[in-house]
Amino acid sequence: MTAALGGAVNTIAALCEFTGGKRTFISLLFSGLSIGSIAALAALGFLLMQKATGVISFAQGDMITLGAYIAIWWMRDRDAPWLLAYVLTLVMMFGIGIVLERVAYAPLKGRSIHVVVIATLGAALVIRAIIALWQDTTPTSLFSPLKGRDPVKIGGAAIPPVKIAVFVVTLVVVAVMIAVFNRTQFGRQVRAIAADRETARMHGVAATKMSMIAFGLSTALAGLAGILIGPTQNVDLTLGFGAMLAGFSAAILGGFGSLGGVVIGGFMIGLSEQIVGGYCLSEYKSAFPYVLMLIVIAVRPQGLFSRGAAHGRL
Amino acid sequence: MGEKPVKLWRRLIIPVALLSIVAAACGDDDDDAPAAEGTTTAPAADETTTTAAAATTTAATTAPSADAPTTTAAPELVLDEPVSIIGLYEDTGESPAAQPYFAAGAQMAIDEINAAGGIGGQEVSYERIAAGLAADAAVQSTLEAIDAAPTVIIGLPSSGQVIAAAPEIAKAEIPAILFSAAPQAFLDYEGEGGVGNEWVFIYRPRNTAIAAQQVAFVNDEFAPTKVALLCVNNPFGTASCDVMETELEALGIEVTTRETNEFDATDMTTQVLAIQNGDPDLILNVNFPNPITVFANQLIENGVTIPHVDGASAGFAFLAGNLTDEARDLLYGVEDCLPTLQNEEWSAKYEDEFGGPPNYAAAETYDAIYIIKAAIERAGSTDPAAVRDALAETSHEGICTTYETDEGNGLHHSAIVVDYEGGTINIIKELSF
Amino acid sequence: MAASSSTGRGRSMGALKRPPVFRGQPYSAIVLFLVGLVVFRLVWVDGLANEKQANTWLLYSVLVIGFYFVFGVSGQFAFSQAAFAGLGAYTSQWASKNHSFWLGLLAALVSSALISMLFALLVKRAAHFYFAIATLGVAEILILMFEKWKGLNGGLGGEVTNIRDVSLFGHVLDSYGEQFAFLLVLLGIVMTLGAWLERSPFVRENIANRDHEVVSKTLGIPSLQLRVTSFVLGSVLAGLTGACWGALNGFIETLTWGVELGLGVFLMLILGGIGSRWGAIVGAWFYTYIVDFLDKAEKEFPSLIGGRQIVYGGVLVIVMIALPDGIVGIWGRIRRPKAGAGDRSATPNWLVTLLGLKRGARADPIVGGESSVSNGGDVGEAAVSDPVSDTAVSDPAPVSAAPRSTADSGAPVLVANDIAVSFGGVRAVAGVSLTLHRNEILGLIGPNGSGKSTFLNAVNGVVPATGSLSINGQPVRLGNSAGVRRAGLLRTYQTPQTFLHLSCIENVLLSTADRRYTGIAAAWFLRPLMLKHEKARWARAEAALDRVGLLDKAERSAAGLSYGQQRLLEVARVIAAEPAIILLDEPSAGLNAAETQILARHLRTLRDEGISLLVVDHKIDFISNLCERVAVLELGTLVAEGDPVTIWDDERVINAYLGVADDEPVGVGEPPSPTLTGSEA
Repeated sequence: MTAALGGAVNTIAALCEFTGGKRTFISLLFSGLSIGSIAALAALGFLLMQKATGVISFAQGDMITLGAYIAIWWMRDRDAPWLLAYVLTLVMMFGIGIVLERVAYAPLKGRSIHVVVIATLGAALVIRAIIALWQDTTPTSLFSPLKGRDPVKIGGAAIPPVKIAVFVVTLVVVAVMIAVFNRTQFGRQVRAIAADRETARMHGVAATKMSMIAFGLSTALAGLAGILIGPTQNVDLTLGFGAMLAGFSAAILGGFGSLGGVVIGGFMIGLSEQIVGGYCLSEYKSAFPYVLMLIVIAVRPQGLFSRGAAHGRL
Repeated sequence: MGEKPVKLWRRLIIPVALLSIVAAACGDDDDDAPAAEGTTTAPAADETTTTAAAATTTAATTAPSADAPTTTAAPELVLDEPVSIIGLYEDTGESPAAQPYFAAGAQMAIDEINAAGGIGGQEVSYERIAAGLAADAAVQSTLEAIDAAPTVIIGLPSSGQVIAAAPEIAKAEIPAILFSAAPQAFLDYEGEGGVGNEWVFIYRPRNTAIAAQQVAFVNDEFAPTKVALLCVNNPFGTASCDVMETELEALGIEVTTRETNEFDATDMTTQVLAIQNGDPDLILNVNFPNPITVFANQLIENGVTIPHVDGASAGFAFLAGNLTDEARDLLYGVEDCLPTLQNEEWSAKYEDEFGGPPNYAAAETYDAIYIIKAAIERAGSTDPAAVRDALAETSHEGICTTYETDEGNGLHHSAIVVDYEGGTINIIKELSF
Repeated sequence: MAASSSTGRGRSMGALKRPPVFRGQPYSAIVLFLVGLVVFRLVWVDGLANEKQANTWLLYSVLVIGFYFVFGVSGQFAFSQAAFAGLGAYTSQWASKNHSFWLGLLAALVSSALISMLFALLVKRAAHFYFAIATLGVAEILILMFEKWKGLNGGLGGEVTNIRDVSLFGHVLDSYGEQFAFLLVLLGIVMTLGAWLERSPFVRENIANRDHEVVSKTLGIPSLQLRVTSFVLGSVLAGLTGACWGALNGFIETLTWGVELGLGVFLMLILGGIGSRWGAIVGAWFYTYIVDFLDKAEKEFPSLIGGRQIVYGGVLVIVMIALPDGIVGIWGRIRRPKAGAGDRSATPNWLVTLLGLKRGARADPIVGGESSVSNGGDVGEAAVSDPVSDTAVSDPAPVSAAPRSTADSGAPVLVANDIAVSFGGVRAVAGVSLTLHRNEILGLIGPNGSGKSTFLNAVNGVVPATGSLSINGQPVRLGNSAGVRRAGLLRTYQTPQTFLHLSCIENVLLSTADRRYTGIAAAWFLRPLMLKHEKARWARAEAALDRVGLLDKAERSAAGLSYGQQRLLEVARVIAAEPAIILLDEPSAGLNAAETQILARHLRTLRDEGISLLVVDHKIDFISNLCERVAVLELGTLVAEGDPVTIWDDERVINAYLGVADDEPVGVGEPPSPTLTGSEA
């Protein structure tokens, strides 16, 4: 038994190559944290929308892309200063979220989950095409005041400031979101809706208003993810798709439960890809988040951080 | 007190959002580069192309309009059958990868030829069929071309397209000049999966030959002891890196790491770190434009400041404008042909006609039409087999170089190494093989 | 099924001669279609480009027929269809490298079957969004494998060339014409195998499982097995498509199997019509040729560039709303008046129902199901339709089955001990113990919200509960609704839980105790045995329908029944199951006094046949007349138990009923849906 276990460990170890020492580890760690941050932001968007409306939008990935393009448009074509451009982008994304709620979700309220999913898929295709028509499909880049700055030296590793910014901004946003959820009227109402829609409605929670705000906020979160992820790579139409998948995985790891769980899920996704994938089977590293997700669905479908066992199918 | 503003805000939010969308949609008319579906990213410049023409170069473009290049035909030829050529490439806007140069260069040559009386007294009919980047779409377009039974087919700038379509062309027995230099497409390819055949001539310089030349160049210029390799994970990257690895070993240069990435990679941190660990003197990169940009920028971000020598995609990465200055100055590229620097006279003529400077793609379709003209004139007929045999004996002086058919049906045997220091394209060295 | 079942279903009166699996002309429809294809090929298709396109259409058709079984029949939201086609293509080219195409094909079928089965079992607890996301994940993993695994792809990043051609007896199919013939045969085989499934219990059980998984389980339908089988079936057809795709085209690349085709498969099925195999073929035709059309449009109108995805997205949304049965559905609508509203194809497809286009035609799920979006807001709608009026409940007819022995009359058959159910901290049932004896009708009463329905749900295993349960002396695990059904316990529901996309007789067939030869293997390989058993099931179902007076509606869709008739249909379904115990949840709701009396007579007859009944009801006189014994629940606990006359002397019973307003909705006692709502904010 132990021999077999040892053999298995050896086999796995043979697939891994631990090189580069502390420097590489710290670099991978920050890479993982920045990818995890994006996953966490995307997952927060899903969670918020899901809590308030019961829907998971497959358009979220293209919303991330749209956020990056709107920021590019403000800065490149409208010459807005970067901070103003960021703020305007988030405001516009909030508005677009509300429009999406009115156009693609409200008319389908009360219909089957299948219908809503297909509607969000349709919305995703339309958004992507609109970006293509508006901004062209040639890959472009998003300015960031931190781009091109000298790397920060941490433990011998050179860490791009952009990545540190992604991580720090995400932590701040998560803290704000948790405060909003736990301390404000809005947060209480969303939680009430999530617990029991009918009862919440009877107690005077304006479900329509809540769902509009939730769509707005989660779209703004997608926009923020777009602004943060944009400067770390080329911006093209596929920018948000990978982030959306990572966000799905993160939300499943967190069990669509608590904000904290989903955020930790996001960082697990990022670290599993970068740290585990950085040393072991690195060609396949982008599969690791999905493998992790499938394992969680198989073993603990209610998520890693939800209390109690799941009954029935999730 | 607080009630009214909230309501007003609520009433305003949707119109404002809508207006901002409309404003966003309308405010951008000056940039008229159109677009299309977005599931694929731009392919490698070594195979097909993406963007605008050569930027600010040192070229002085003053020459008067030149005559057609120097192929002299047998003057007595009179053809009975019509001559038709079909071009398989996209024009601006038909896909994210599309650009105008293929169509423009071919059109320019056709117009010149027809203005001068055609080939053998026959006006050349020319048609372009958009060939999508996906292999299946390319085959579909190739079959459309075959159905029209042209004298010669030209086009297909991507390796996936050529690999998929070459067998159809052989079956149809129509001579074709195809643009992608995927190793499997050459007649003398020895590995598994070769699709080269006597009907298919390959226009662009062989990737593998360029790879060998890149190693030789690097050895002369930088005399490195340790080199890292990065190759895109497709036939083009794999074959080129195989050659580079062999050549480097033969020169006694250590290959510290050999990393791969997908053509649509958006984060190359893992590759950068792995390369950094090997502590090489420079990097040889066989890649697509987008990954080159990401990679070059991330090298700087992670504090790696060594030169990297890339292929023709480097030019597109440069022109796309997404490189930081520091990253740009460490970048070297290998171009097939830079008409704006190598043939100013022709470039000026092209610019007169199309309103912008040409790139290698325009030069190559232009040359291809004249190569076909010469072949038909040598063959003395439009009989496919005769034209094919004549193409196999091509020797043609084109815009940048002289084309000669080799034993693998490859036509193009030169390239130039350039850098982009200070934001201009500078020729470092001319290669021929 | 639209075309395959058009004939022979027009009758609506009298006993039926043949089960539906015998009827219709699916084979002639398939033959006609294939002949039509040949004509199409010979007359309209010329030139290599068109020939290739026709072949692509047939390949897409097979792929989408596979997806029809996954999404259309089984309701599973899978984005993995294209990736499994890729799996077939890559394993096939690998296995056929030094052998024949046929070995490659076999490898493709085996690998897609194994991996899809493994996946489906791994994520067996995921539904809806979870399942959709899981399939996105597995698709990404598969595509990464095609790109990176050098042993599989030959080391060139997924571009594989010179794939071995399809050869037949040494002859290589190298012209598009021969390939078309090959694909024609393939499509014919796939259509026939599909028709065999349509003409077997497999599809109806899948539909039941899709529409009401929880109810299906309580009828003894193997839910997981059906879901996995359908998913594997669809994935194997995808693998088959991929293998042929690679061999016929001679090359493959990873790009082909990506998200675009994954979404395209959805588009094809929804566009063509989600409710039939023909929809898949029609949708594939549009997808194949619309790309061409859009390419040409883009050439003519460069300003349309990029419009393709707007068109895709728009088509998806418009079709969903305006044409929920797709293009095939248009034809069905035209045809319907002639054929009479007798068969399943006359029923709006499940998307129509889910979209709410047919008001009141939707049943509410008891637990889970669709409720995270629909939120059960439609519970009342079904109740709006007229009560039993047009068809009087017929008198009890003699039972066809021999009455059971009544020798051991009085022995306990159902012992529920200390049953407790909590929802989010609320104890809906707080430790109830009840015993039901043989040949007994036990009444269970109590005010609204006292936990009666929840107790029934706990006993037949559709909500999580603690306590213990034994049936006929054998312990049965709580929550094991299949085990409860095997032990002979069946039930009816407060709101009738019938399957609206099935005919009445099919509803009843679902519950028959004889479940032999109902699977996919029987439908294909043991057809004579399957048909023999199906005939027997048919006779039993007919008898059950006859008993409740619905025989003349046997072929009608259950959706066309009134509320009261749906209740009767539920009863017929229970009778056909040859139960030992029946739990009835408010059987008299919506019935007038006369009808209630007939119902009581029915129930007594059942009791006399040796069946034990537990009846939950509000009508005190109905219960008092019917039951030998009555138990009273209040706030989740048993407050009294005794004979129906003396029980009203009990003060607690009077207190329980006094002043209790009848203000709670029908759905009281149902837990909040566990589907995706999460437990904590």
